[in-house]
Amino acid sequence: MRMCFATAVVVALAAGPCVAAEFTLAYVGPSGGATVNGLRLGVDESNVQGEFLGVKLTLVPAGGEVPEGAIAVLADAPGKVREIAGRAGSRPVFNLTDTNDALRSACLPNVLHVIPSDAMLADAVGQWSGANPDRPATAAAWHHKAVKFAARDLNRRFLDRFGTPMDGQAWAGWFAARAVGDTLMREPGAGPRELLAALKGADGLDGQKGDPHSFRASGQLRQGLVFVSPDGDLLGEAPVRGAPGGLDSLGNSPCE
Amino acid sequence: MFRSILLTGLIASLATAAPTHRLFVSNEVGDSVTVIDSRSGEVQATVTVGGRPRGIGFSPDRKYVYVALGDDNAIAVIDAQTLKVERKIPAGSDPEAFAVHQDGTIYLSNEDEGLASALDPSTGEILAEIKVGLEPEGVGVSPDGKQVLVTSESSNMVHVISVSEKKLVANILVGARPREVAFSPDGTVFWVTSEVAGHVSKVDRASNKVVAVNNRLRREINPRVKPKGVLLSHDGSRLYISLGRGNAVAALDPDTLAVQATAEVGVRAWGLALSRDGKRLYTANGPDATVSVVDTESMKEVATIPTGEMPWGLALDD
Repeated sequence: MRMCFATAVVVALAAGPCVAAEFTLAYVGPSGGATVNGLRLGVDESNVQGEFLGVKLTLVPAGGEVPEGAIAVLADAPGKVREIAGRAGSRPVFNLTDTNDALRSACLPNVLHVIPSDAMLADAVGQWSGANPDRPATAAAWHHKAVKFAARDLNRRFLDRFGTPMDGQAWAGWFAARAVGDTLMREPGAGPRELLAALKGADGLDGQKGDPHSFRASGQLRQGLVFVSPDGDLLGEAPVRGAPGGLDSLGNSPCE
Repeated sequence: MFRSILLTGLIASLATAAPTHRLFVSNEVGDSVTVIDSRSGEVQATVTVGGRPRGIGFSPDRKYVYVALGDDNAIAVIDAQTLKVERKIPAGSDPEAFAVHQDGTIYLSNEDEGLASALDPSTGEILAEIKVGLEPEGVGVSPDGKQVLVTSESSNMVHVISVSEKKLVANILVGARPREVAFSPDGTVFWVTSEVAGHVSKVDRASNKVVAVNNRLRREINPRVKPKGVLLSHDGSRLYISLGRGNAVAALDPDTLAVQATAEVGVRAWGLALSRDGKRLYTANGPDATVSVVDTESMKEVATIPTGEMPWGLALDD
């Protein structure tokens, strides 16, 4: 992390180029695909925010070892999250892909699950079926035709950048990078421990899905979902309006 | 002294058209502006205006109603008397909201381009484009006319623009999804609503620091609260905020931000307007397609008025 002089920070407000704090995010996963594209968009959008505040994020690919200077790890690595979490030390590890419920009830201290769990998806489908017994649907974290809550804007930015529609995996990558970015903008002096604590304590993270997002004790992101028809059309939002418990009506697995 | 009052009144009447007593409502999905007689509560007209009208406000002389048309990349100019759409001024990409400077310049947010633009409506010239954060929305002009504020909804900031230099002089991080700003009459502080965070913040203009936050609105009012509109009462004693899906408006103490009173209104209350006498507060209720009329003394909804589809913003000429 390179510090600017106080006077330089004032100049940076007007001119922009001075970076007061730089952070490296380690990425474990395939070099292409929706998840890493979402991450790239999220890092770039965090840097739009950071340009005004003197904070810069860089995404670096990581293989077996977590780079020493990385402040967080972002993992598109189903089946390997526990192992990565064990190697990450005090750094927050974002699970972007693995939906396994046991991974949530294990309540790993440094893991934050952005992708919804199997239990969340199943509870959402249950709510839909209860209200619409004759219309099958699945649940997902995101839909490329969502427009409410500025989803329209995010879908357009992703499509413009990559030429492919934004799906739930892309959303998970995007959200993780934005959540890390926004937290570091507010605490540019943070190390991995402070970042993890701030993320776990945040109660108003913005996923462009309307409701504020926060992390449950299990590390699972509390979030709304969407209902999708067998033909891939957007049908509505989960939880259904008035579901008791609100966002926690969806797969709130307790710690074991 | 009496003469000076008369003279002042005369100048005021020359400079400003007689009030039409009309409440203008932008209908985001209806592509129209509903015109309501604020004295009777009757709908007088529905003016077809163009694609995705959101931000709405008056020229300084109140002769014209400006409406930001996001899908037409323009500001529509409606004659407040005849209700004729006089013209549409190109305003850059996706204009969402705006504020009109005392000198007549329209400062607007271009949502999809991440820009704030200064538009001279008399010539149609875009005087400046200033890069701000993602999804810029709420715009406010300081009472002294020296600064313009623009919120960026997806970058969680209030950007402070110098009017003389047409450039950024400060960027203030606030709670997630900041949507609207309002200044105190003396310009020493401003307030900003944060929709996803559920906050209202007070910012000291001299230091550009957040000096008070109410982050308890969801606990104290209801868990669905999403602050959007913000407006200070004319006597400065109350800060009114609309609460979106909280389906309510709240009156806060402008200094401490403590909740003084709330009133239930229609679904997803966004746009706000206050009558000149301060007795009636209006909210635009999107999915309900209504405007609620709230008596500010009792803080009760006393009437609802039908609008076009998805009412967004309000502008009252009384």
